[in-house]
Amino acid sequence: MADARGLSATDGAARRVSTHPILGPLTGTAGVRLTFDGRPLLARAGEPLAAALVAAGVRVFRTMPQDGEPRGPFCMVGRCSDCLVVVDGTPNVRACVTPVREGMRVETQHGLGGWGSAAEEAP
Amino acid sequence: MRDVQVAVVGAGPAGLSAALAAARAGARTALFDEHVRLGGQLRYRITELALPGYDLPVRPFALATELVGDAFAAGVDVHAGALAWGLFRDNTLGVIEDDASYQVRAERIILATGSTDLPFPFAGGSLSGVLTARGAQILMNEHRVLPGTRFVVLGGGPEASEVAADIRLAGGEVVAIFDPKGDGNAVEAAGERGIASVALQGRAHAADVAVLALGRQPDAALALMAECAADYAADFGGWVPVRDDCLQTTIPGIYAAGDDAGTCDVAVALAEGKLAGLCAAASLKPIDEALLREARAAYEAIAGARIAAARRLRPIYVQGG
Repeated sequence: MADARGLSATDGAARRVSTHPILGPLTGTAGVRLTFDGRPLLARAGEPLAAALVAAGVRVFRTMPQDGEPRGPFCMVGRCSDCLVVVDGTPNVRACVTPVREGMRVETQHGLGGWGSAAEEAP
Repeated sequence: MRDVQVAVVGAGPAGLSAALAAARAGARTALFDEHVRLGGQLRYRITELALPGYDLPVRPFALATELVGDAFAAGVDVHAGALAWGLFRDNTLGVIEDDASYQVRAERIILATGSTDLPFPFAGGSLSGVLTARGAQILMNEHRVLPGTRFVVLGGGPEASEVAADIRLAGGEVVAIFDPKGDGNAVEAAGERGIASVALQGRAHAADVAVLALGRQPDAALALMAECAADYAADFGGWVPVRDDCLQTTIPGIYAAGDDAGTCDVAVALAEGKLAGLCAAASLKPIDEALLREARAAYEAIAGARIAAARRLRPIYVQGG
């Protein structure tokens, strides 16, 4: 259902710009399934992971090694490293320039991150 | 090792224009861009541009589609998602593509690596919700994601007006546009897991996104790595390679075009790309002299005034010593 600003909460994404005066209606659907910290999300094929996470309302992608400060996407062009996440057990993946893939398991990166998934380590 | 005659790094307006010109002039040309989608700034900008050679204003994203199509049609060997991470002696590029690493030896290299948004330090400026103008444009215009509901835009130049307009078109609310004029103490963002408010000169605004539209800096890393001579020009965005009238750097065979040689605009980037592409091709084998004359005249007709205008804007963005 779209609200007064044209934002739609369908496809699991609260922040999609479903209509746009210049770009027109958003076509296609969010059909790529992935998880973020175990929570299922739907992403649009071809989009970078950061877009899918922001659309789903995720604000914190990583916490800093020094003081644990939370960070989210800043430059969106692969330069700043504020959007690093752990993908399928691999740390330091730049969410802003990594296309989504069916079945991706994405996790918040804490500090420098580690190899292997936190989910795998859980009993 | 792969061999090409002309290698172009960066597929924004300057790089696409350069690759197209070189290929059409008969040079075996390869184009590399680290991003999967080609077009650079043209991909995610939607405000119409008035460009020389176009009767009507052009939407940048439509221009990207047109130029990429032209590049394929002209036979350019296009590598999207291919990061040129190094430039070494003998005009050799180090490239990573599809998780594989390889080298490209090129007789001529045109650097069109563009620019990045200037960062700006202020209290709370590293919190989630602080985005560069281009970051916001990429999310909203390219991927159709609105990163918040209430936006503060920091900046006072054309980039600030453009991103503010884009936010409104995407359905966001712009609660303030504020030019800090280099004073980081005039801005303070606060929030727990992301920003919830932004204070401007002590006055708090409820906002979940702060956008930095304070100008751009040349991304001349490859030129500097190759040890091209460079000048520091604060009003041009930072370190820029020194070039001759063919846009060739001080290292023979290496050219620079577009924002990485001084941040300006799309029209200048297109004109510089074309001139550099033709000069590079002409240095390999004779080409139609008239083509080169026209490209130089087209560049000179617009560059002076547009570059001067861009440089006049810059001092308001650059922080004092």
